[in-house]
Amino acid sequence: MELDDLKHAWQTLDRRLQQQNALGFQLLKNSRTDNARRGLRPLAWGQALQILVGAAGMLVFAPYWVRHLHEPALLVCGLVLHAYCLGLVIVGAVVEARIAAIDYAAPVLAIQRQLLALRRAYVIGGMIVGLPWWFIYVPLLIVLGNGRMLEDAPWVVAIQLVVGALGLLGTWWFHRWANRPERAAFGRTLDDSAAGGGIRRAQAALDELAAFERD
Amino acid sequence: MDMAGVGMATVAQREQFEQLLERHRGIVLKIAHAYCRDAEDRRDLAQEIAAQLWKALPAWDRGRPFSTWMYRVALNVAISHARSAGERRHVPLDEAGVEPSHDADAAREADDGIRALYRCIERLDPLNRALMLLYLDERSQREIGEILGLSGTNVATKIGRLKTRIRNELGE
Repeated sequence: MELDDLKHAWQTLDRRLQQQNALGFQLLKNSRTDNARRGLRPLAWGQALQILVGAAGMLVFAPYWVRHLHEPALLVCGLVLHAYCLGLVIVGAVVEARIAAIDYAAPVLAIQRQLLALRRAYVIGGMIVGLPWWFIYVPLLIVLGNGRMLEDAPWVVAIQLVVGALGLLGTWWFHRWANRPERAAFGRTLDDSAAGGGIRRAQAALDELAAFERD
Repeated sequence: MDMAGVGMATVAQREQFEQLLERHRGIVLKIAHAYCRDAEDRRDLAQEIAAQLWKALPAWDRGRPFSTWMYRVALNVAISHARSAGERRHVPLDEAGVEPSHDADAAREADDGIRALYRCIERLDPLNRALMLLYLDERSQREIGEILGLSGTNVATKIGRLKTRIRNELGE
């Protein structure tokens, strides 16, 4: 069999498919459509929730630091929490924008690149949202106690900040340790839990794309 | 389906789209057959492609061929569908389009050809499958490049490699 035979077979298949009239496209009735985007919906909802939490936090913390303009410690705590909530909103909005930018009418390889951009935004966003928790709970506790912790036990705050710094350092070291070549499988599992299965699959598709472009 | 979008579309727009879809339905059907492993999957994919085409219609530049734009959307949807289906299960492509009851030699030969075609398609990853499908459909290199997002030279190189690969596989 030769390539021309395959072309001939393709034309035969085309003729036979044209004769099958059973498939009517149900443009308006079918609720089982839009699977392509449905796969990204949990991610989109998660980001929407994050934006809502961030916006609510800003509404709570902005008046707080405004009320404590003349108390530097409480002012800083309020501003830090406000900035964190703003970060939640920005990160959520960036990921939402990436999801919305996926345009199925774009060239095939361009779509794949859009998925990569989404993955990057999600992973970096996750780090921006997650890693500050090594420190962010300190101003949060101070604000919740309306500064009493600073007055009663400032050494606790100092210890918490040291623990936070050690924790951040430990996270960085653990990530490096887990991603060494001899622990590739473990590192992959770890990255999966950080990046989400759906996004990882997009990355696998991108690796395939890179191979397709390279070969 | 985006019901809000559908609600805003005029009856004339919908009729025009349905006519275009009907005229080029072969593209949707061939792509569905090239990417899906069973009849139910194929129906789902064809519906999904139709829905995405309808949704993306406002973005279609009427100065450019509908078929090229349709290929883009349909292949993008099919590749995503194939990947998610591939994660769920792995079964061989069934041989839809093959008509085993034929007695005539010519029909039997055609059926053998379609079986060989399915075997070839099945061995390719989704991107190379798209390339092969466009090549078999005798699309120009420029159009293939436009659909996939590759330069004309790149398309020529890839088609050359794909031909060699298929020849080798057919020769096995």
